[in-house]
Amino acid sequence: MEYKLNSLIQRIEDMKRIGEAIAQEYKEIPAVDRNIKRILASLRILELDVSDLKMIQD
Amino acid sequence: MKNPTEEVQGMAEDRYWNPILERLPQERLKELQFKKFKRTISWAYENSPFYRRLYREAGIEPGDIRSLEDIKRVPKIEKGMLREVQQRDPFPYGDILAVPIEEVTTFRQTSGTTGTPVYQAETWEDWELWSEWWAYILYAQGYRKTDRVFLPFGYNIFVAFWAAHYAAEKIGCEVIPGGVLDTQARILKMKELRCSAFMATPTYVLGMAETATKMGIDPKEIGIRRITCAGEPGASIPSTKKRIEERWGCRVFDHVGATEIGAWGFECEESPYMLHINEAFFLVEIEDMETGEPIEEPNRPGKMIITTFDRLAKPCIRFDSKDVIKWADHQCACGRSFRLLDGGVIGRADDITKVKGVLLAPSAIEEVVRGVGELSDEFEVIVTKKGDIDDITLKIEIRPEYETKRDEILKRLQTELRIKTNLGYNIEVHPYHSLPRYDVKAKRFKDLRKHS
Ligand SMILES: [Zn+2]
Repeated sequence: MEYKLNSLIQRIEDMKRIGEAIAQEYKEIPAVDRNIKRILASLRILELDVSDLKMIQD
Repeated sequence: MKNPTEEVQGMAEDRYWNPILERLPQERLKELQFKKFKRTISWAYENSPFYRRLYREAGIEPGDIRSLEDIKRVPKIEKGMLREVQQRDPFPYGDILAVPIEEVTTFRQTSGTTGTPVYQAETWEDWELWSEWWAYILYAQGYRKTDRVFLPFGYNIFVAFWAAHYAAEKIGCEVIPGGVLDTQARILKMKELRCSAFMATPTYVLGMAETATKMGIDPKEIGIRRITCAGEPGASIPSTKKRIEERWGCRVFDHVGATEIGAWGFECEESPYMLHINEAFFLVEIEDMETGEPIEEPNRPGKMIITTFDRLAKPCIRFDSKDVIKWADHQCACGRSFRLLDGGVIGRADDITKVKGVLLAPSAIEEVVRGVGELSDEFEVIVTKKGDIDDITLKIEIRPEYETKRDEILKRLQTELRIKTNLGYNIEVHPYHSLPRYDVKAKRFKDLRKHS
């Protein structure tokens, strides 16, 4: 089994973008705001690492 | 060869928490560290008044860091500075804080055994990092979702095993918080629930085995398959590790971390007595204790200077931790590219002291004492001065069943101590079970010369 790293990076970035958009649009609703932000916080660990790797590759 | 960052060979062996980062070749890991260092120092410079002051006084700014070499020019920080900054606003962290205080979601503090405690602020993102660091540790030590993990620790203001709890959950283990139960109740609960793993300081792991035995329970019957230790160097000291493994009939693993730094290193299944540094999240430098010159070669002990990447609330950049460590001379067979430290944390720069002109690390005494099977798990070392001459007393207990071999045991102990530490000791034999027992970290080494 092999992983395509570029595709992983792309999809995590997509998730992050969607998450940020939801958090922004529904920031009046604490349950949406905080839960989406928690997802983004966990995603941050992956996002930083894989995009770092991408920059090394470039 | 394929570009390893493009396509990562799969996890056929299910060995790695993050096979991408854990097998990144060293040169790429170095590039990653450099990039993360720059990001971390820029964050601190822009958001933490403490760091900005420190760097301005030293005439350095993030833009000056153009290579890994330049990192050596960045001023170090140490515990005293972290305490001092707490006098400033915002309360109680001081202006080292790099986020608005309303972003802080967790408070922890150091034990303050050597002075005022250091208060630690974490944002939710920081806390996610803590559990991620620990997920690397536990996964490398064989924890999987089939494990039922018991945590016999007092959940409180200290960071201790909090992150281990969250990481075990993250991996998918079933976690049992053994908070305020006493030792006997904890043993009964672990047995009742057939727990497969637990985590504690080496001192407490041995203490629990002793308590279980007194209760008529052989610790081996409980069915524990792995133990993760923290807080003290014991699990990297061969004779202590062996004792724990024999009592519990399972593997014991070491890990290292600190409140101000994070959980920066771990033992894997392949290299006992060694620690991998989690180099994807931490940058470790080793410095000569006297000259301060960087040490790159294996087997030469020095002081650790450590940087944690991407910690938001309270950045930790070039922290002089006073831990004494040395590089191993080989790569680990587990396939991780993260470098190894030989012997874990060998000691603390503060604890390694000259006695009768000889450098003495308390861990060397522990290694000898725990290697003599006829002795109990407890001991105490007291260094005093008689006139101008240093004097070391070692207090030990002999297990009752070996009382008759006393002279032979003491002779063997004295010889081993001389070989391993180059020093002679006054050995005092105390009645079995009379030396102090400790629940968390032990204070077995007392240097009374400093106070006279
Ligand atoms: Zn390894």
